[in-house]
Amino acid sequence: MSTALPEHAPQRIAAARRRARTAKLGLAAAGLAFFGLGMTLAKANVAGHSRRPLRPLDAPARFQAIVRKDALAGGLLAPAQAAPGATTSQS
Amino acid sequence: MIAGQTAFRAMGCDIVAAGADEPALEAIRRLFAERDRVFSRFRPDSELSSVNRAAGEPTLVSPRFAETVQCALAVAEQTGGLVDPTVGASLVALGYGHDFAELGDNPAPPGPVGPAPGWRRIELTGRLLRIPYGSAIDLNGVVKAATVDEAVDLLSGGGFVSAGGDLAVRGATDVALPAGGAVRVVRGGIATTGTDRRRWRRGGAWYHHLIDPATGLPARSPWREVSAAGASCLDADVAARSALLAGAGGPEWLDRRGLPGRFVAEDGRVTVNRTWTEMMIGPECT
Repeated sequence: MSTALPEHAPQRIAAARRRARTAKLGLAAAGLAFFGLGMTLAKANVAGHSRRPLRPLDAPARFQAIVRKDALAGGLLAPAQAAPGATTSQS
Repeated sequence: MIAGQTAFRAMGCDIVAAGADEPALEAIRRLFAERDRVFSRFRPDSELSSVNRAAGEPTLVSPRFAETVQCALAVAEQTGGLVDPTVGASLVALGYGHDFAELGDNPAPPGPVGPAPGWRRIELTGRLLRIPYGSAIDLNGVVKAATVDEAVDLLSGGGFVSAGGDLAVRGATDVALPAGGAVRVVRGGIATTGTDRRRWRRGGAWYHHLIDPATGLPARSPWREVSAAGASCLDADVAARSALLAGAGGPEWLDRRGLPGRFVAEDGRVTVNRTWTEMMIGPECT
């Protein structure tokens, strides 16, 4: 029994390999597109994904500045009502 | 001095306590002596001197020392760097390296000074402290006022404690002000700082202890003395020093923070800021 390949077999094999390569590329592209689409949808809809650049969790700098500014607290003064028993002078 | 007051020397100034019974007075004496032992720039055996000698190297400090440095850094931040603990080297270079009572008229010119390294270069992690190489820190301002606040808490009843004029009250106290006048401190403390008392001659020129961190030199200010009141003696002291260092903008600097201040100009003219005026409802005080 002859085992020789038919005369047109090499062309068919080459064509099959081209189809396989195209299919692989197509699958990879589809995978990438699917992944990209999935990530986009996740960012838009899933709470755990940030939609904007991350910001630190601490209080805004302006708020912190106000708190620090107010950290020096004023005392309570009134007009003198008697002869002073103490004095404030340069230390 | 009125009855019920006791005075003693500590930290290079007069400490006055009023309303303290004998145990409280003893506790106040011990408190000032202990703080002086730890924080004096003039004692070679103080913890502060050890830290300054180890400038550039990490040093393990006591919990009290770490807490005080943290307080000094907070003060520096709150004042925008006006009150900066890294001016210690400038003070020494200008001649204030010994107790003030020992400073004479030294004809030698002062050493070179430059801008303070800056409080942001102090590294404090827990009790591990590193100050910039070649620098020295001065915590005296913070320590003295904070000690006054601690001391007044030792009083069982009403009274006050004053250290060189930095004063904290428990109960309303009438306090004489520089250049005349008086005010009633109802709560908190009052402090006065200035340029014409703690000063010395070096190389034929006068220097004072309020250093401008930007130059490392004694600050130039239109004010000879500034008194300010705060919720504590520390707040008052920081406010007074900051207002003097802020120069002509001192009254506004205090107003923005709701702190009352009274300013004596070089010519003796007395000015008060808006907050001070608002606190006074009577004509007796200016």
